[in-house]
This record gives sequence, structure tokens and C-alpha cells, in this order.
Amino acid sequence: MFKGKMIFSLMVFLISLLPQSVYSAKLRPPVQVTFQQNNLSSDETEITLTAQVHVDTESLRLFIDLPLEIVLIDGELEWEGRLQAGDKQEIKIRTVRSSGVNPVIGGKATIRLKNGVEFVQKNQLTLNDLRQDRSLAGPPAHREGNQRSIFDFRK
Amino acid sequence: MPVPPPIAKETSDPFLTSESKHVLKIKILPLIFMSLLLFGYGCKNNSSNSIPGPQINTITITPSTKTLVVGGEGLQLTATLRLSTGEVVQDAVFTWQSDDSVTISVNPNGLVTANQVGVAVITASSAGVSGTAILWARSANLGAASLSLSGKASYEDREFNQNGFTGVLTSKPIRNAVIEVIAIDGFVSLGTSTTNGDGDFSLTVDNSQNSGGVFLKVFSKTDVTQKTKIEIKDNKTTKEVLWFISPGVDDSVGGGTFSATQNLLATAANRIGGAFNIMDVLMDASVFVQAVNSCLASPFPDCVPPLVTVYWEPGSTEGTFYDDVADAISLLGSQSDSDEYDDSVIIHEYGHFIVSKFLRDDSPGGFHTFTDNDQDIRLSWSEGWANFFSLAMRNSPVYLDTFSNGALSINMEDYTAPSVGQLPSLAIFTTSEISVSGILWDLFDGVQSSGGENDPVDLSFTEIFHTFLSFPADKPTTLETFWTQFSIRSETSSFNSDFQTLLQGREVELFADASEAGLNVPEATLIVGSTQHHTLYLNATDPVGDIDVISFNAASGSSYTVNTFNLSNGADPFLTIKNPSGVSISTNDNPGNADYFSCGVNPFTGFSNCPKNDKDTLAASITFTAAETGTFTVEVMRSENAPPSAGLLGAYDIQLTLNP
Repeated sequence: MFKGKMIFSLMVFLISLLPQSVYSAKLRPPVQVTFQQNNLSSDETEITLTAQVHVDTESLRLFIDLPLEIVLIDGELEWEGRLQAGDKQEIKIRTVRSSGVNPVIGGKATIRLKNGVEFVQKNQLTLNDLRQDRSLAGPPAHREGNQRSIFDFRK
Repeated sequence: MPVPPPIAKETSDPFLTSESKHVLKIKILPLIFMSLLLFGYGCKNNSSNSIPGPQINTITITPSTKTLVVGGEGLQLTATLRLSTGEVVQDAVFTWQSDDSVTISVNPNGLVTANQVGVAVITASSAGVSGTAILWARSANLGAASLSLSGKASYEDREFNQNGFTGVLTSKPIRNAVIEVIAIDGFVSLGTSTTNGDGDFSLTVDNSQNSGGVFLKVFSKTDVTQKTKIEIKDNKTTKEVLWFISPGVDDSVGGGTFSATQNLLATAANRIGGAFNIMDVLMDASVFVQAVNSCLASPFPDCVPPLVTVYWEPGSTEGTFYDDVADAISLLGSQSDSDEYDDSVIIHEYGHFIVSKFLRDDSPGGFHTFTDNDQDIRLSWSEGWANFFSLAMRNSPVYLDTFSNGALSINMEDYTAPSVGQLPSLAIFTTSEISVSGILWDLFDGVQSSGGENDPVDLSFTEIFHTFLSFPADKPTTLETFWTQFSIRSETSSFNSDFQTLLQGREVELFADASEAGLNVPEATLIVGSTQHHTLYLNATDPVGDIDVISFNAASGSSYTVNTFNLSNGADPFLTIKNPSGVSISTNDNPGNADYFSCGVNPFTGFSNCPKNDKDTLAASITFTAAETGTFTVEVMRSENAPPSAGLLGAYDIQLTLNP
């Protein structure tokens, strides 16, 4: 037993001698909110709102705000609870669109920090709006005369 | 070897890599070690019975790459569909497609024909999966003896505002990048050059020894001979510089002269544009540092930063950070958060790189959010400086980080962030990176800034950088040290009063108590039930080492509590109670006699073990019963066992309570 502890301590010591990277990470908001859209049919859409917290929270309230032309058919629009730093929480709903072009869905995460400060992070999803993602879309299937990159050859 | 990798297509799309939790400061080796320790080298995975059935199919095309001759015989491609077990699916039906049928076409049976010089990606699809082959086409005739290629290389930048990307794309020149001419016949490098400051290039090479057909390849790196040295690579495993190529150029004139103009565009849609945006932004940032007038106190006295390496590719989820051991910047490329077009973020990380090369950084690193004002004082300086560097280089007080469908936006002039109403009240103390960056920004920006403090200071980046360069080796890299050096440097000391205004606007208390009477001289009297506010700051020449001596009257037999609270600006007070004769009767450092002196970095997680600079963790408290009636004193000084996360100075409240 003693020998085992000695070996463990020695290994911990040796590990501590390894060069340690200092990761100067980028600035984060206390909570990040992201949307995902999954079209189930021409008018039925699954929407996922995900919150990832980067600090310990006293409380988190996640909320999806649907416009009038979007009707909820399954799932909850709201979630409330307490999360620790690094946790993720999502709410998933199914909706149908009754009318309208490119309706905007709002998402909001409200967290209360341990020092009592309330922080709100909002996001929005424009259904079938290609504007935001246009430049991230993949290359066209047919291309003539275009340049190609290392990414094309790795697909 | 300039040959693009002839990779047979696998099923999954690397662009659809699922978002994983950011892992920062996780040490791989220790984790591997712990895994071995816990499970043993020979530990067998018992989960084999849970392996799913043969569901994952792959398609391979044979040959996976080939160079054809224009006008020559066609090539029959063969596709094979396999299950995850390796079993071949017989009688699978494939759909064939060329992504450039003008150059190389494919018929429904997989027979390909080269129509003109160039390259095409051929895809075979079946059962919802696909595989690809890369086919090249060269001429049957020899190339030109004098082949001149010229043009302009550009990339697409994505415009953004405080709400995120606007959807507008702008074309910008690819400056000072390495460009190469490659013969398709054998993929021989015929010559290299660099683009100029406008993205223009011109090369003349000899291709008469090869069949006609060449392409240009633009690399996301500067030439080693350039003053500004940058390279953008894919990841830490393959470490390949990113690139894109032109369409094929047919120079098959049989040894004669041929010239052509090729304008190249790295598009945002292809994602390669992002690599060149990173390069472009870093080029400006490097030039910004090069403009500093003399860096004699650093390893680079001419102020020319060394080579910076950035790892980024679509799908990269490792995180966005500067790693001082790997000496590289990593940028996110995930679907939910991709940073290749986030100029503020790229320059922020370059700010860390510059500090690492020119200066010194004591920060333990790790997670940080902009609502924190109880950060490790070394972290708040490090991140605050990097934020400031980003603002100063872009000459804008707005820090912007876009992510999927949104953006994090902070204005460090007026401390507004669309999502946080209370940011002005949170961005305070030496232990807030937003406070630090806002103060440095106010030193740098013009005197007529709107919003925030009405500051009359307008210093150059050189002066601010030189103040940082003047940090003594034995002082930690913090805002405290910056203020001390600023206040004693002849070049900046005339602005001390204005700087103090900026500091106090952020509740940074780097000044002596008004009642300061000198060491060991009572400066104030504490009354039962009252509270006083003090700073641990001796004087401008040498602010460290202050001892606040506060007297109070106590009655024999009565119980009293003296305690510090509302700590701020990195304070770690140590209390000593002395009786009327001046004899110490009690001391206290931290609640529960906790000792954080040896706190450091957890070797397994890489996270700092040191306490945050909140209001009470490092507070001190003494409860005692007076043995005599008279005037006692409480001495408050910085703890000799203060953790490195605390400041050398700081501020605190102190109160005296008569216990029942």
C-alpha cells in the first residue's frame, strides 16, 4: 500500500515536471445560445435551442419565442433549472408553419450568476433563411472553371 | 511535393463534425497516464458485445486518382460499396457525377473522359453514401518553353456588424502569399513567387519538358524571406499549410511562348477564404507591432514579430486559444462557432502571441467570461491586454465574436454589451479583464471619445507598449505593475493624474488612503459598529508594503470581532491585533486558517487551483476578549502567504463588532 502511494506520488511529481501549456483562451459570454433547424417536411420543422454555460449559475431559464405563424405541436417552450460551468441544456420542439415567409424564432437564455447579476443572451433563427449560412454552404455540385482548395480534395 | 492528396472519399462529411465541448488546458499526457493508471495497459474493452451491426457503408473508387490525356482514351472507374465489416455489397447500383463535366465528364457507367486540361472530382453514390476520386487532365502535346502567368489573387471577406455577419462578401487582395506553378504532368513544381501588396503576381516558367497543362497553387503563408512571417495550417497532426488552386491552364504550344492571365479567388463558400482572412488580419497586426518605435527591452529589438503559426480548418473544435508551449494559435472552425472571420478574436490571440514573444505573461490561462470581476489578477491583465491589443490594432472599441446566428459584442469605451445591462457596474477592479482593456483603450483612444469616461489622454501604442516592456522581472504582469511603471516613466508620468481618473472610473484603487500616516503610525480610529474603507497602497514610489494601523477602544472582559470584507482589486489582508502595550495578541489570514500560498496549477486538469479575488475568500477576521481596557490597534497588511492570483495591493472594508 505504502509502495503504491510512493509510486503514485512519484508519478504525480514527474507529471508536474512536464512543460505545461498555458492556454490563453478567447473571451466567452457566461452563456451561449445556439439554434438548430431540422426540416421534417415542407411545413414541419424540429427546432432545438441549446444553451451552454461557462460559469456556475444560480438559475437558468431557456425560452423559445414563436411568432404567430408558427404553431407548436410537440415539446416545451421553456426550461428552468440550475447548471454548472460546462453544462449544456437544450429544449427541442416540433412546429408547423401556418403561413408566412422566413418567420423569425426567438431564443433567450436568462441566467442569474452567483453574485446576483442577471445575464440575458438572445439568439434568433430565421427559418429557411439562407442569408446567414450562405457563405458557409458547401460548394455547388457542378462547377466549371472555379478554383479548388485543399478542402475539396479532402472530402 | 506539390501533388494534392489523392484521397479516396469516405462516407462522412468532415464539415459536419459534431460540436464538442471545448477542452481548454486539459493536458493530454496526464490524462493518458491517468487512463493507463486506472484501466491498466492490458485492459480489455468489455463493450464489444455492444458494437452495432454492419451498418456503416463506405464507397471506394478505383483508381482514386489518375491523370488522363485530353482527347485520349476514356478511363473506366470502379466503385465498391462495403459494409462496416468490410463485406462487399454485390450488385450495388451507383450514380456517377463530375463536379466539372466540362473538364472531365463521366457517363452513367463510370466511364470518364478528359475534355480539357484541369481537374475534376468524380463522385459515386449509392445507398445514401458516396465516395470520390480526383482526376486530372493534361494535354497530349508538350507545354510552353516560356510560360508567363500573371493575375491577381483575392479572397472573400465576410462583412459584419454588431449583430453578426451581414451576408455581404467583399473581395480583398491576398497579400505576400506564396504562389507556385505546377505541371499536371508529374506534378512538377515549375516555379514559385509571391503576391505583392495588391495581390498581383507574375511568373514565367519553362514547361517544355512536360505535357501541356499547369495550375497555380496559392498557399496561406508568407515567404520565409518576407519581413512579416505567417503560416496558416490545418491542424497539429498533419500540419499542412492550406492552399487553393486555379483551374487548369492549357499551355500546349510545343515549346513555344504562351502567356495567360489567371485571377484567383479564395471563396468564403469553400471556407478557404477564411484561411486567407486569418493571414490578412495577422499581416496587419504584425505591421502594427512593427510600427512600434524600438523594442530594445525585448528579444526582438527591431519590433519585427517572429513567425506565427495558426491552426484552423473547417470542423476544428479544439478551441480558440494561444498555446505558449506549442507556440501556436488555434482557432475554432466548428459549425456553431467558427472564428476564421472574427478579426477581433484573431487579433486578440495574436496579442497573446506578441506578449509571449516580446514580453512576459504570468497568467495561468483558462476559462474566462466578461462578467467576471474577481479574476486571477494575472489573468485579467493578460486577457485585458489581448483585448486592448485587438481594439487598438483595429482602432475600434468594439470587440466582436460571431457565432452561429449571432454575435458577442462588447463596446469597451462605454462598457455596453447588448446582452448585459449591468456591464458598466461589472467592469470594475484590477481583476476584471474588461476593466483592464477599457482603461488601456482610454489611454490609447482620442481625447474626445464619446461615452465612457471623458478621458483627456491620447497616447500612442508605442508608449503603452513601452510601459509594458519596462515591467521589472521581479514584478508580476498585472495592471498594478503597469500603473507603477506608467507613473514613474518620464514619457508617461505627466499623465498620472488623468490615468488615475481613468482607474478610479473603473473603481481601481491604486492610491494611498487619504489618512495614510506612514508605517506603524495609527491613521484612523475604528468605532464599534462602524465600517471603514482602506487601500493597501503605501506610496507612488513603492506602493507595496503598506500597513494600515487602525486604533480602537476596548473594555476589559468584552468580546470583539474585527474583520475585513468587501475585498476588491486583488486584496488579501492579514490582521494583527495588538494590546495597549503594543504586544500582538492575535493574528488571522484567511477564514478557517486556509492557506493558498502554494496554490498553483493542477497537473492533471491544467486549471488553476488558486482562489478567485471575490469579496470574502481571502478576508481575515479575529474575535477576541479584551484582557484590559484601553486603546488597541489592528494592523492590516497584505498577507505574506497571499496566493499568486491575488494582487500585491488591493482594497478592503474593515469593521469592529462588540459581541453579545
